[in-house]
Amino acid sequence: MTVEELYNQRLQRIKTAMDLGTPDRIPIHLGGPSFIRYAEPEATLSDYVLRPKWADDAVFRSYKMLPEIDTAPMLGGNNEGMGAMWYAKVKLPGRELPKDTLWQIVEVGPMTEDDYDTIINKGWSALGKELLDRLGYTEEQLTPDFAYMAEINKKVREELGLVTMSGGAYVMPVEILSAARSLKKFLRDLYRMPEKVLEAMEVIAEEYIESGTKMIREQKPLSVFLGHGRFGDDLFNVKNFEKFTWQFTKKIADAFIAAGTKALFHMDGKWDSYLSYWRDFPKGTCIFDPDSLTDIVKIQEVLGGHMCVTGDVPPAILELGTPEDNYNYARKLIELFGKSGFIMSSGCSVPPHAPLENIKAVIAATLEG
Amino acid sequence: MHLLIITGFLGSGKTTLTMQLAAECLRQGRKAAILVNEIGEIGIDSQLLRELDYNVWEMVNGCICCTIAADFIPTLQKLSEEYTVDLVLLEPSGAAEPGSILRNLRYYKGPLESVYIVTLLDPLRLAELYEVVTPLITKQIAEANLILITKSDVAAAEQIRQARHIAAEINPGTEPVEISLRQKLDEAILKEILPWQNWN
Repeated sequence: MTVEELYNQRLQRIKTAMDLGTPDRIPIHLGGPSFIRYAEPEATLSDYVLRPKWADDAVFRSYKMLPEIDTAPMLGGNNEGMGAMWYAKVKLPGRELPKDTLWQIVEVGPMTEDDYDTIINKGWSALGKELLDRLGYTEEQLTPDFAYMAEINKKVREELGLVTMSGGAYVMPVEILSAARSLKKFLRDLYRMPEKVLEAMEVIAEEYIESGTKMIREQKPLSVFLGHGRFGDDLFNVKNFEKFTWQFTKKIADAFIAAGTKALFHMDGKWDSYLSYWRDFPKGTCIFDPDSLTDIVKIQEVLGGHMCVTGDVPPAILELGTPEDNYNYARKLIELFGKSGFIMSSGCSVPPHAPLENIKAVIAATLEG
Repeated sequence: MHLLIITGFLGSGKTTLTMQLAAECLRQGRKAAILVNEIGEIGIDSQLLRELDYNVWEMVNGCICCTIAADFIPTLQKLSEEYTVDLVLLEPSGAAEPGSILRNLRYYKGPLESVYIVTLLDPLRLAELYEVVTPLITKQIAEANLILITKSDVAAAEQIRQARHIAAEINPGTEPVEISLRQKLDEAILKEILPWQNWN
């Protein structure tokens, strides 16, 4: 089989699962910083963030060792960008932290109360640039190496035949404002000036829709990644969920779906009580991508057969469990979802010290069908 | 090795209490390790603390789901295997509920004599936080073995009353104690918190 044929086979497999059909086998979507180690066992997380091109090469070689994985790896890391995307600072292994610990996002809240008016009057993009300036980031630090990005994307497709699941990522307004403002100050704003916050969120949502729909029409991605994190049912009650989260999630996703893609809801945190809201989307238009904190049995009960679900081998099992634990969990997922409308995945990314044997166990369980 | 989890929303005084307890451990000739997670706040200056001979481990906040499992459990494992630690003081993110930490403890494979949860309530902000993040505050209070109402020296009587009322509704079996972390911790509270003094 040529790489192009392999790519097309994988693409078909993933598209079928996303459309709630039954593919030739369940697609496998696994990726994360641990993949640097499978080809380079001595590598540390400082290599991952401080030697990104070397790390990308190691990750490529790891994927060659695991050809059953269907989807593209996380590549082209911009170490300062990991903080900047949250309007925060970042501490990196091998720089501020010991060499083999995970990076830390340090929330400092550069956004002021008056900046809600800046968003409303001048737009979110304008403020975003200003916030990065306040944090001391330079354009040079944050500008991706476009030539290199193009080169590795080509390599992913033409050498490895791997499929990119999402083409574009948007962090929901409630999440991005809480990071830019800092959680503590943001929650105070929600209590003291909720209408102003909502007005700013509306502006952010409109900007997302404008840029997102343009991108979807030009690039035609399989899905667009919509990031949700801290504001699940363990933080927000239903009134605040509807007011500050759901109305914008719905509006943005509806617009993206109408533009011709699927909405991939990356759901970090716990969302059990609010799952039924996602049934409002038309059948087969979304992917629900939980991180293992939401009850997977409940996800299947509420959303199974209505939207594709990725799930959800917990990071704790991947990192701390045995191969048998991982195999059993993956088998449990397959029994729960069957072969249709399901993608085998880790809950969020594979954690940094997950042993290769555990990845192989998840793959073996999936290949059994 | 004992585990003491100190929860409470950002700004409720977790770091100050952690530091006071660590100092008390040192004074009593016990070895404490501090595990902090910095989500949403500038946390402890770990370098400074290391220079002061405390053992401090920072946990990661890159991703909520991976953090606790990927960092907390292996760190606990390491503390148990490589250090002689009497007490681990765990200060999770202010946005964490203790239940998620306890659930991941099943992956810990070392000895653990006890787990105790102290929840701090800031009476100056509790009413508004309870309104905005009801589930989080509810869980932090419900899962507490001991509830401390901080800032009692600056809070109005009505704010303290309100904090007591919220706590009593959620966790009626635990009588909250009012403290000011600007002052030295009361002996009775230390006796309640420090495991070798009181815990079963």
